[in-house]
Amino acid sequence: MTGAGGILAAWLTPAVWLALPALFLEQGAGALWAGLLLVTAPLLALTLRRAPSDPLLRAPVPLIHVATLFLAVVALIWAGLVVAGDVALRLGGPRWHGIALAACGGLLLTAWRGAGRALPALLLIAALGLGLPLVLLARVAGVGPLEAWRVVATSPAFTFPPGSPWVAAGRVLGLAKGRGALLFQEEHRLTAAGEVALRLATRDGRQTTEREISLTAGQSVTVRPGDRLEAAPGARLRFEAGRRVPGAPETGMAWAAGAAGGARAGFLDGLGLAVTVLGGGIALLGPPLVGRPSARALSTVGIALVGVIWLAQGWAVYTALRAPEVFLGGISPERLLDVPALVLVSRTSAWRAQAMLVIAVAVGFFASTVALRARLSAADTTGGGEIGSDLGLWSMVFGMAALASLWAVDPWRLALAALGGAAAVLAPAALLPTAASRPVVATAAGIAGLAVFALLLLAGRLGAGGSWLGPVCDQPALAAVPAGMLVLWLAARRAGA
Amino acid sequence: MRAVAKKSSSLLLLAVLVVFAIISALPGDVSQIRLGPLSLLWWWGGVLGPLIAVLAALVGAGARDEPSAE
Repeated sequence: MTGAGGILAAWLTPAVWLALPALFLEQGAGALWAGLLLVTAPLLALTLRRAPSDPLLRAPVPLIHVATLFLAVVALIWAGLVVAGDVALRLGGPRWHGIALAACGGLLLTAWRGAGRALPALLLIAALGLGLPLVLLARVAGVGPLEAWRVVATSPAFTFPPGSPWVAAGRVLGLAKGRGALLFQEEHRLTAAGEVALRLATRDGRQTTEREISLTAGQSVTVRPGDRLEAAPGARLRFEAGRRVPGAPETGMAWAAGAAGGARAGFLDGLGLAVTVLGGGIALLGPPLVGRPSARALSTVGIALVGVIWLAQGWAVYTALRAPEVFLGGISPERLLDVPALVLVSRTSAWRAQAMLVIAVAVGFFASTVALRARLSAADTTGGGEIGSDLGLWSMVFGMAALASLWAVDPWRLALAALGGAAAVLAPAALLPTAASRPVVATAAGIAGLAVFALLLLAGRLGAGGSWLGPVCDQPALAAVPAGMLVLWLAARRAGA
Repeated sequence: MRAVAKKSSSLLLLAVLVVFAIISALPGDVSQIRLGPLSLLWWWGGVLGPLIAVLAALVGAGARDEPSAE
C-alpha cells in the first residue's frame, strides 16, 4: 500500500472529509487543530514506515492487531454509510435509500478484484465534485477566499439574507439540524407558513415558562432573546430578514477566533484529539506496513491533503458569507448540500452543484471501502490477504453496517472512535517496534490498550467521566496508547534485565 | 542518513503542531493579530502549517531516495 490513491482513499473517508467544512463552519479557528492533525497524521505515519528488509518486520502481526484493524475498518465503513443515509434524508428521501445504495456499491467493488486500479480516477471525481461547486460559490460571491474570510471575520452578526427561502416562503424546521431547541439571541418575529404547533420556553429571571402555541398560516409569534423554540415535525416557519440566525456564532470575530469551539478548548481535549488522529493515522498507514511511498507519491498525498483542508476552509468561509442561514439549529456535515440552493440563483446550477456533491460523497465512499479493505489485506500476512476480498465476510459486514446506519449517529465521532481504537492497539507497537517484536508482548500490549480504550469509552457513554476525566473519556486513546506503550516498555525492561 | 532523515521529518511534522499549540496559547489574543487578511492563527493552522508539514515530509523522502551510506 504505497500508492498515493490507496493512502488518500483509506485516510480521507467521507465521514472525515465532509466533517472538515462542517467543523470549520461550526467552530471557526477551533477546527484548525483538527484540520492540521488530519494533514500531518498520514505524513507522520508514512515517515515511520520501514524498509521491507528491516528485521523487525519479520515478526508476525498479532491476531489482536488484525482483529482491531478489522473492527476499525468496519466502523469507518459504518460512518460512511451514516453519511450516505444523512445525505439521502437531506435530499428528501428515506434514510435507508442512501444507505442501501452505498452499501450495494461498496459490496459490488468487493467482488471486483481490480478495483484498486480505479482509485485514482474515483478520487479525482470526488475532488472535482467537492471543488467545482465551490468555484461556483466563489464566482457568485465575487471575492477571493482571503477577502471572503476577512469579510466574514469582521461581520457584526450572521443574519438571515432577504432572499433566503427561510425568509421568503418558509421551510420545514426539521431541515435545520433539529437535535435540540432553537435558542434565540435577539427578538425575532416568526410567521407560520402552514398549520404549526410550537413549544416555546421563555425565561423570566430564574423562572422558565413553557407554553404550547398553535398557529395557522400567516399567524405570527414573537420570541425574545434567550427563548427556546421546539416545533412539531413538519412545522413550516418563516423567519425575519436581517435578524440573527439562531445557532450562529455571536459575531464574525467570535467565529474567526474560534470562541464557539476548539481554539478555546482545554489542553487535554486538544491532546486527546492529537493522540487519536495521529495514532489512528499510524495504525492505518504506518508500520508494520512496509515500503515507503516514492517522493512523487508522497508529494501527491501531501498536495491532496493540503487541497482538502483548503477546500474545507473555502466551503466554510463562502457558506458563512453567502448562506449564513445554514447555521440555523447547528451544523451537520450533510447540510453542505443545502448551500448551492441557498447561494446560486439559477435552479439548474444549484441542482448540478448539489448533484456533484452527492457524487463526490458516493465516489469517495466507494474509494474508501476499496482502500480500507486493501489495508486490512496487508495486515493479514498469515491468511495471504484473503480477509480483504472475502465476499461472504464483506456481505455480512456491509449488511450489518447498513443496519447499524439506520440509527443516526455523528459520523465524525464514529470515525474518531474507530481511529482511537486502532491507535490504542496498533500505535504502541509501531512506536516501540523493538519491544513489540515478540508476538506475546505485542499481544499483551494490544490487549492492555484495547481494555483501557473500551473501559473509558464505556465510562464516557454512561456519563461517568467527571470534569477531569471528561477529556480522557471523550478521546480514550489519550490514556489507552500510553497504557499499551507502558506494557511494551516494561516487557522490554524485563527482557533486558 | 536514512535514520536521520526519517527522524528529522517526524520531528519537523511534530514541530508544526507544537508551533500551532504555542500560537493558540499565546496570551493577550496574540493569535488574533491580523497579518494581511488573515489572523496569525489562521495563517499557521490553515495555510502555512499544512504546507510546511508537506515540505517536511518531502525533505525526508528526498533524503531517503539518495543512495544510503549505511
